[in-house]
Parts: sequence; C-alpha cells; structure tokens
Amino acid sequence: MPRLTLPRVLLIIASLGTAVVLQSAVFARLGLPGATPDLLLVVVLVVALVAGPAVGAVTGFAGGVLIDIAPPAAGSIGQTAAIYALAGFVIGHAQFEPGRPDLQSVLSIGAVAAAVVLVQAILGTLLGQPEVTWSLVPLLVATQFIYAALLALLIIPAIGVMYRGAGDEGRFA
Amino acid sequence: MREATRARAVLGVLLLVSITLVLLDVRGSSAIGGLRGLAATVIGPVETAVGAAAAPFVSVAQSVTSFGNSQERSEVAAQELAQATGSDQTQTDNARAASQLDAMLKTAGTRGFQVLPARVVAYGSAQTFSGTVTIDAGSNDGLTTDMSVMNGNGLVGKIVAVGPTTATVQLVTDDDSVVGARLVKTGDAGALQGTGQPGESILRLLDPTSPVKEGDQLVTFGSPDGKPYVAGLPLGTVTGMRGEPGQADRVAVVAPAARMGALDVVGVVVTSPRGQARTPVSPEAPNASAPASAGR
Repeated sequence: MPRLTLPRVLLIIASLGTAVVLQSAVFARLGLPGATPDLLLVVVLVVALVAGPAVGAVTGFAGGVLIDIAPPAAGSIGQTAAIYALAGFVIGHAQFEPGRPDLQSVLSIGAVAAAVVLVQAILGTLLGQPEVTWSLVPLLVATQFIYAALLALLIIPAIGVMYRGAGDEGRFA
Repeated sequence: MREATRARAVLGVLLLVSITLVLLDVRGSSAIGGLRGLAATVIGPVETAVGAAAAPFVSVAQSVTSFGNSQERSEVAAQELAQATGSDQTQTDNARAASQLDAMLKTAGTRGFQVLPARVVAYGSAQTFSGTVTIDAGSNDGLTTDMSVMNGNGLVGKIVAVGPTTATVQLVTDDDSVVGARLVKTGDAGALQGTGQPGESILRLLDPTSPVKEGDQLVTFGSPDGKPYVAGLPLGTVTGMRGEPGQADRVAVVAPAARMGALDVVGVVVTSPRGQARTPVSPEAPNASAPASAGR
C-alpha cells in the first residue's frame, strides 16, 4: 500500500475537481445514448485501485458530495456520497499494478460503475426521489459499463503514473 | 488484519456522515444551502469557461447524437456536421447560436416579454433521472429563483437556484417539474408533469373527459406575476394517449416544444406583461337597446 503523501492528496483533489467539471460541462451535453459517462466515478475507482479501500472510500465520499452540490445538481445530497464511498471501498480490495490497464481492472471498473447505476435506481425507487423510469435502467446500466471501461483505459495510466510519481514508492515497491 | 479493520471503520464513519447529510438536506438545513452556494460560486465560473470552450465540439456531437430523432432534424444535423467538420467549427457554432438567439427574441418579442439571453453551459447526468442545467447568468445579472426560462421553441423551465454568475434551471422534463398547461384548441386546463425522460411528459387535464387528440398544441397556463411560469408560451405537442377514454387515469403523452437534449441559447424572462399593473376597460355596448351594465 503506497503511503498517502501530501502531493498524492492534492492529486486526488485536483482529479476530482477536473472530473466534476468535465462531466457536467462536456460529457453530459454530448447527448450520448443511455447514461452519461461517469468520469468522476472512474477517477474514484482508479484511485481506490491504486491506494486501497480506505483512501478509496474517502475519495468516493468526497466525489459524491462534490457532484451533489456542484451546479446543476438540485436533487438530494448524501446518497451519491454513500454509494461512491461503498464503490471505492469494494474495488479498493482488488490487487492492482498502478499504471497498467490490464483487462481485469478495466472490466471490474466497468462492472462497478454499472452496478452503481443500478443501486442508484433502486435507492431512488425506495426513497421516491428521484422518480425512476425503470424502462430506461437496462440501457443506462449497459451503456455505463461500456463508457466506464473505455474511460478506465485512459484514466488508469494517467492517474496510476501520476500517483506513483507523486509519492516515493509504488504499491508493490 | 489491521489494515482491513481500519478501512471498514472509515467506510462506517463515511456512511454515517452520508446519512446525516441526507437528513440535514431533508430538513432544509441552511448549512447545506451554504455549501451549495459555495459550490455555485467556485465551480460555476469554471463550468462556464469549460462549457464555452467545448461548445463547438459539443454542438457537433449533439448534431450526431440527435440523428434519427426525426427526418428533418437529421437533415439539418447532416448539414451542420458537414460544415463543422469542414474546417471552422467555431464559426458554425456562432452562426447556430445567433439563429437560436434570433428565434428566442422573436418568440419573446411577440409576447411582450423582457428577456435576458444566456447560454447553457452544463447538464446533469442522465442516470440521475433529473433534468437540470446550468446557465451562464446569475444573481449579478439580476436573476432570481422562479423566473421562466425559454428558447425560440417555447418554455424550457424555471430557475431553481442562483449563484453569482450562474443559475440552475429545472427543465420542464425534470421529474419534479409540474407546469400549468392549456390546450390551444379547446382552452382546457391541465398540468404537465415531467418524467425525467427528455422527450416524454405527462399531461393531466382537470376534466379527464375533455377531448384530446394527437397533435394538439399546449401553451403555458401562466402563474400570478408570471412566476414561476409566464403565460402563453408554447409548451409541447400531444403525441399519444394512455388509459381508457373518460376514466380519471386518462393522460396524454406530450413531447415538449423545446428540445431538451440540445439546449444552447435560452432567455430568462425578467418581466412579463402579466406582471405589470392593468387598467380597467369600459367597452361599448354591442347595440344601443341592450342595458349598458358594466357591473358584475
């Protein structure tokens, strides 16, 4: 497990901020079929893969709060934070070589991102907020799997390399 | 293993904090409101800058992804794409924005609305099932909550939150949105409810037995002082019916007039004629023999 140095914390904060802005100002406006590519969640999952479950959970929580308060979010706050924290914790248990997008980590990021869409829909239905159109959910889950796996191919090398460079050791060093 | 125990403890604490946030938000805590205000102040301008820089590419992508919505749109999109991929994407984007602005001002002008033009710079994610967007004008420009937002095609939504330089608009298609509506042909009143799906809202008429057909046009009913919704703006077209005729659960499916997937230039209605004072009129009696009673 790499130590959590100050440069690494700053790297995580900068990545989350960039992801939130790009997601709402660019990705969500593209009008792609199905879900909006969840860049923020992919960043959270990659950080969790590199830094382990504890840092992954905290990063997920921070990212979830950020996307819930950043405009144009007007819905409830806290739900996304809880789900993203759980997602970061779960994927943080996987073994991972930082900076190499192997098939296993790409597919697991896609799978967790797809599961998050499903959990959000279930939680939304239970709480009645937002009102979930279930006929759309299969398409959202399937497209999010593809988008997240594709994004992971880019984000894993980017954050993996920077994370290792920002500290003095890799996870398996 | 101590590492694993620590991670579990961290997760437990985070989940408890999340639940606390949910509860504080439900109770309408001012701390959460302050947090949102801070986020709008800091993140809003960044979204505006990034959104503006990405606009040419976004408009090309929107043209491609809106393919198949209808034949006509596809043709327009194909033309736009051909122009845009040619060389100068920025120029095409500016031309498109200018024509959208013209259309919006025309729609506002014929109804006597005073509007503040703005551009949509950010969207909410599709998987959140809510329809909200950020526009690049805020309280510094005199915007407040509950103002109507429109474009050349009709009503877009209303402002639900304002930051200094940005505002959040709840679209007509948001699952929390309910807009008073009137059928143009018969004058029947009802409520248009968003479903979270961009092209499909639900119209419930006050009188479920009143005749509604596919293709019927809807306009906004209007609110007192035009807030949150001004009267007489195009709202949508009936595309189908659900439920048995004459039953209380009979509803009409409506395609909103404004294309929510490809919003760009919009106008915030700052003042409307409905918001201004009116003067009484004393009309002439139709003929001399009728009693000239102006009373009630």
